[in-house]
Amino acid sequence: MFFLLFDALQNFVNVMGGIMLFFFPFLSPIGAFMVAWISAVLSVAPQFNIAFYIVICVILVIAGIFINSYWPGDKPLAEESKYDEDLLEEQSTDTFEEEGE
Amino acid sequence: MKTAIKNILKGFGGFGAYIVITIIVPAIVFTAIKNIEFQGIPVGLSQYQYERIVYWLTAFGLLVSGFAFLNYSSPKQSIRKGVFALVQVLVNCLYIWSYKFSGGTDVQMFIFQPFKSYYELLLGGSIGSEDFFKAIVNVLLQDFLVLYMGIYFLTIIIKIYDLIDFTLNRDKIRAERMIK
Repeated sequence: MFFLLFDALQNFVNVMGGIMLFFFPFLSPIGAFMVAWISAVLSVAPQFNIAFYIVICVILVIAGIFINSYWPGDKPLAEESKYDEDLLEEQSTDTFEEEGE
Repeated sequence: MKTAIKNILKGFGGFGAYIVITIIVPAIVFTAIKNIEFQGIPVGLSQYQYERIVYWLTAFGLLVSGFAFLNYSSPKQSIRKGVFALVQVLVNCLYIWSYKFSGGTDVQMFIFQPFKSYYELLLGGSIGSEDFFKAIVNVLLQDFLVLYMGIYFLTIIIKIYDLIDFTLNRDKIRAERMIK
């Protein structure tokens, strides 16, 4: 009833409805496929055991903290660091040779 | 260490946002629907329906929020961000579908209202069904949800593309991140 009172909202609803009706034949079969796999997963999901989901959530958060502590993503590439090591080795060898001369 | 703390804080930001969006707001909405009364008679959800809906929304909301933490705490354009974002979208599908199978999309309301006041009806002598306005309001969102699932499938495709992109261009992305 609320939507019928305002022309602008009525037009908006019509446009949205038109878009949805246009996409419905394409997206609906994909949606049905999605529903099939989701139903399969949900059939094995524990029912009325909220503690199970709380534990999983806590494990995910703790795992995230550990992963970010060990691999924060600010280390240079392995190839680059190897390149740096090689460069350092070359420099030290050159210095040693110079000193030897 | 500074980057790690920054990542973790970002993760908690995403986690908090998803807790609000997926658990707190829907719980408030369904509590409001449950408490709808018409002339003192509850017309919204039954206690069983309400508990079932809130249970599944909380359960999958926790999973979505957990994966949101992993997703948001991962470095930008990293492979693990791609993997966690993909898993989060898949868990999000479960969450959205939980609205359907828990009964959240099939809300039914009965409206039964006399055209006159009860006092006037009693004065009239006889009360019949023609003296009442009767209506059943069904809020059926199943087709809408199937359509939404179709749209979500496209999101999954985009996330898979992102993951492939992050994997193939790993060196370039990492080198750019080091410069920044």
